[in-house]
Amino acid sequence: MQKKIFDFTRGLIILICYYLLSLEILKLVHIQFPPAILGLILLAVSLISGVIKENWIKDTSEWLINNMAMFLLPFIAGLVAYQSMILKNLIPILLVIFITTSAIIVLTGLFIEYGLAFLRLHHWRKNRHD
Amino acid sequence: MINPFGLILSVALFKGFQRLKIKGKPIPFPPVLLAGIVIIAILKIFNIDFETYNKSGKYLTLSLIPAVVALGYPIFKHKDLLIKNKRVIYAGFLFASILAIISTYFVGKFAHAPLSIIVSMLPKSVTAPIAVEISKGMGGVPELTACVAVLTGVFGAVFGHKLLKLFKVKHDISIGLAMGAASHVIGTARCAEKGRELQVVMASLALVMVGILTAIFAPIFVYIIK
Repeated sequence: MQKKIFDFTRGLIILICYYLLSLEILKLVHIQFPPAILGLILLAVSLISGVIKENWIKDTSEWLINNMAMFLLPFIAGLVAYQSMILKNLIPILLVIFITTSAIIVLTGLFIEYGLAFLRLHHWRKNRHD
Repeated sequence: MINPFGLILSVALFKGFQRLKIKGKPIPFPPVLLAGIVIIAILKIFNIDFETYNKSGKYLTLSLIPAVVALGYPIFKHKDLLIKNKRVIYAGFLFASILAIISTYFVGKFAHAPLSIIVSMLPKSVTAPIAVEISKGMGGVPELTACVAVLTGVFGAVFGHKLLKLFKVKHDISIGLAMGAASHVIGTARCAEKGRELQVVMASLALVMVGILTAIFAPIFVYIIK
């Protein structure tokens, strides 16, 4: 149990450090970019290059990712304050969600499906010439 | 001493809905949506201020920061897949993120939505924690962004597989990428329920990569249209 708490805390401190580091970097270079997303990129790069070890952040990351939706609840509750704005624009909002989400799913799916088929055909032709 | 009401209410409702099973199966709606509706209802019925709720509720929002950073971990875990088939997959991430921004803008314009609402909706296909970060940076309304992102996820999760089947998209790589790119974590969870490992991996890569690309493209797009 103690080890679990230690591991979790260590992971959390590392993740927060990556966020603070990103915040400082962005201040230095004057670029507007969400610091947490830069932290995400830096974390992935550090893991791939072996700067930090997988098991230092594994448990904490998995727990945070599994519970991510829960952290959004205050935002959803905060919608009460925007009630009139949303009710006034309810139809455009729903239209945008239905139309664009369907379009993105279908077109992206087809794009990858044909892209992969094209690559396979390309390989097959190349192998036949060899 | 901080009033822990908001924090306890949120965690209890979310965890409760997460564990709730009807006839042995998990409920078909995401727990965050149901818990959110119940919280709003409680605040309304008992006439409780949002401020009272948010005194401790805001600590939940704070946890979003390390959670977004933690999304770097699945990239590392599945880096082999990013290298294999790389050209098609990267082109797919680009395609999906640009399509999401442009289609949201034009459908929004067509439906006569005010610009502030369109800007808040631009990052809607990205997982809500990332979408909120993007929206804040562009001057959108984070509360609206979070809600629209959750609804987008639910819509995609419920109809995504059916739509893809209708258009004869069969490969797990294509299905996973499309689901993750359009309806983020909630779509990814749906792929997991179908028990398709490759779909889940592609969807989780897509949700992170499309998130990063949208963080780059959406502010540029807003700069151009303004």
